[in-house]
Amino acid sequence: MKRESMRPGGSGSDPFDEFVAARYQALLRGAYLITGDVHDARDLLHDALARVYPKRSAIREPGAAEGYVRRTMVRTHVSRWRRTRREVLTSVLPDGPAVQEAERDGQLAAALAGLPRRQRAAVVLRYYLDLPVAQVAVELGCSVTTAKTHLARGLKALRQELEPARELVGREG
Amino acid sequence: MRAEDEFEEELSVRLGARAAGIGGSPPLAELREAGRRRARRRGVVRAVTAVAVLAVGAGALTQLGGGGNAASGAGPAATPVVTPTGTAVVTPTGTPGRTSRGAETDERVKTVLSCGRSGPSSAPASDQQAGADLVAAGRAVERMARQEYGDHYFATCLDTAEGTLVVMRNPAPTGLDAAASQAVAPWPTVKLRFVAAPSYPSQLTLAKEIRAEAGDWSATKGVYIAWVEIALDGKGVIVHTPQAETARAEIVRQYGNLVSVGL
Repeated sequence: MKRESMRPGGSGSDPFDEFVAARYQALLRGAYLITGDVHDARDLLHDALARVYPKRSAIREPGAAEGYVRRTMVRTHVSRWRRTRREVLTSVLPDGPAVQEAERDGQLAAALAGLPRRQRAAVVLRYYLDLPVAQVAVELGCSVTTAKTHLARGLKALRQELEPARELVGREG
Repeated sequence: MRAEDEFEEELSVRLGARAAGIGGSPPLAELREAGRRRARRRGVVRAVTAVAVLAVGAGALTQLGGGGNAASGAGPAATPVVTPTGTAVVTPTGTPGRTSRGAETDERVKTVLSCGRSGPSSAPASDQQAGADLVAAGRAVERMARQEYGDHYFATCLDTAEGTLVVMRNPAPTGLDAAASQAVAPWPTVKLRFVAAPSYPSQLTLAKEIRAEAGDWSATKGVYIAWVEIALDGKGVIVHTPQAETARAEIVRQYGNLVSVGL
């Protein structure tokens, strides 16, 4: 894949290009946690950026662009259309580079992979991006109550998967 | 600190650590190109959607028999139109360039066309006034007859050379003739002439049938039916198609000998 060198502020006069150059890595990390796979994360982010690109002139506040892209990314990922088009849900981690990335915390990766997409996205938005619950609801396109439900169920499932290890660590400690 | 809070804090740390190893630089040129492609696709989709919506809307208006733009030919199906050549036209839906006319609403009564015999072009002022009266009377007759005698009224055209309004209708005793005479009373210089068109209802039905099947002809046989006319002399229906030479025999075989096929 041909790539351009990225220099914040030096990628031309288009403010959207400057925004992409500056926030690409942060967005990619969020996408990676949501998808669980580096390649899927890139696809998802690039798809979201391409969707937002034609509307970039309508984004008046530069600070709003990141939320707009992130929202597009999350909603695209959790949409039924994308789920049926791209893949079937599985709790098994995919082969390839993503496994290598996941080696650092394979248990967390497995636990995240076992969550339904909306719960997983809610957890990432809340506990990685540190967004308030109300904003998580906005990003997911649901009510605050629904967002709280996703978060509660996601946390419960993660706790069940991760707590035994913590207890084991505690005993060893 | 509660166990729940501890777990949430630890989760945040582990999520951050897991994401920390991910990085890369944005392929800006490719992203821009992908964005432009998507913008082009959106434009195409919007254009196609707009055309489809307009087509559905026009079709709905045609089915309902109301509204529509008289000039677009998308009004009530098979409204006859008097043309300068002296024929009534049934235009396929959406066929541009043909003036349509009806009388369900005042807006659709646009003009009453010449019967094909015009007065001198350098007419004196008095003749111009007579011509204006003739046009106004024709509109009044058209509006009234289409609204009140739609099943028997065919068309009206202007014979400017004779200062006469020619009203073509089913000669059955419907009261139409008397009503037309009353309608032109405000213009005493206008003369009225009634022409019998007894076969008009059946020809209109045939013309509507042909028009309704125009899409099938185009799709299955590649024959584009541009418009359908009812001859004012009452002798038949004229189908206009660029493929007249090759499709004439089949169209006549399909619709009968009352049909004439022309370019």
